[in-house]
Amino acid sequence: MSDDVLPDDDQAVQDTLAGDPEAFGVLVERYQDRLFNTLVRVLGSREDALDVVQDAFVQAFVKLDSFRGAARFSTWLYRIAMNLALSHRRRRRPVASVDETKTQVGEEPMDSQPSPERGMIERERVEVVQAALLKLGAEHRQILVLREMEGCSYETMGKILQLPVGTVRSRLFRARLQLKAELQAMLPDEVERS
Amino acid sequence: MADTQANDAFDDELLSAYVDGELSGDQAAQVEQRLSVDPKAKQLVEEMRALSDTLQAMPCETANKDLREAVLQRTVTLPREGRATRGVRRWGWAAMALAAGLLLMVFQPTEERDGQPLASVDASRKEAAEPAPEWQASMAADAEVDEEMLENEATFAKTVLPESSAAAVDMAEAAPTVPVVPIQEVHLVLAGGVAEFDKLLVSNGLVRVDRMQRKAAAQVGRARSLRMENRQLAAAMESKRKAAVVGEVLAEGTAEQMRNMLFAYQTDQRLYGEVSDDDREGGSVVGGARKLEAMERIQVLFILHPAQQTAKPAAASKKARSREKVGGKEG
Repeated sequence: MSDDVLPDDDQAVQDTLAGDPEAFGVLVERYQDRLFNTLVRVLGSREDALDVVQDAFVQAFVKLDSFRGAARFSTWLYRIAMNLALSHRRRRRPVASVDETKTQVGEEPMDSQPSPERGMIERERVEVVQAALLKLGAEHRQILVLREMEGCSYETMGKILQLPVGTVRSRLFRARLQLKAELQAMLPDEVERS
Repeated sequence: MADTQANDAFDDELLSAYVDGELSGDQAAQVEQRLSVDPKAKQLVEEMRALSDTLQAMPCETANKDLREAVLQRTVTLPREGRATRGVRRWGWAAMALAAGLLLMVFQPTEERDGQPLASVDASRKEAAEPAPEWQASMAADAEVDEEMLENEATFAKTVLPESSAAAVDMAEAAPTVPVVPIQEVHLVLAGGVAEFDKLLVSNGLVRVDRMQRKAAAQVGRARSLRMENRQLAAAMESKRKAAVVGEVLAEGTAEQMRNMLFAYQTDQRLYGEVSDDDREGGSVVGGARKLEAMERIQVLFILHPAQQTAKPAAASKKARSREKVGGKEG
């Protein structure tokens, strides 16, 4: 089914509020993969990401009446998810080592790998980057993922994370410096590339 | 020196924003001018761009399962906080505010000040009419259930909720609530720690309500029906001796969840300590005179008492008041 025949977010929200049981499913299908990917990078665990993405949708459903539409539904949904991710991390032991990351993230086969060796190198690289991400504080990790993997503008990140744009800018800058330092320790050749 | 360092940090932030294309025209021109004369700044920009490339090259993870059905299955049994509830809640909060104001007026100590008796009376009336700012802010926030509530609650949960219970913080952040019925009060003897009790709440799907709402509930006045989960405690309360309190937890959930939690509590000696068979009572007591629907949401204020500080068992007492049921008549 193409997006042309599916309701847009506002319509799906209205339909859900009107009692259409399938309408919310449209929103779930629309955002589940993208939100899952973001949460995998934030949480460092597919299992945790599955838990949190479902919890985020459920909470969004329960609180749907409080969504007034001033922001986009996706912004509101991501705000819920980021808050849940922060809570979730407090309960889980952080996955910091590369070995642990291997078993939790990046298990999906890479696309179009020219050779098994190169594929393995790429997978290792992904694992190292993910491990470096997990060494960051949760707030730094969130802002980096939202910027680099979601392509969020500073304004949107401000709405999701409930921060002024100035704080978004400074936090993102510090997050980059920190990640650079972490990667430099793990992948010195990557960071020095100019 | 400090100013120079501060300026450098600020300027470097602009470099980061420049990489993201988030600068105004003037700011971008300023950065480009700096890049033309400052090789270190230029290097930093290149490094940040490389970092962006690295992160953006990360493969996209997919769940490989349709979450839609899982989510819809969970939501089908959940009550949405709909407009009707919100309207009732607004009216409910207004009524509670009025009641609180009246309570404060009744119990406000009268003071006469020389030459200003009217002012003091006016002050007391004004004070009574205006509940404590913290409570008022909470009520105002709850009366307008919208995106602002969602924005504020996470921040509030982080700053106000006790750090001792991660589970409580988690649940408060994940599922903030407003009361839908008057608060019931249950006294429990706790052999284990408060943290263990929090786990019991969480594991039974109950939500710990934030401290601000607890204060609001306390000021309005609780339903007086009490449930004594331990005869020793009941005896202590009856003899007016105050039993020590280790904690108060306001929890919200369905009646079914409350029953299940109380049943689990009674059967877990780590929490309840030694109990006699007489004290064990299944989870069926929640509801009392009025039968609560299983999915009906209620709030219960659990007053937690340490096991070792309760009074010695009274002589066999058949006073029915000590076994009043939650949700029953006010006593």
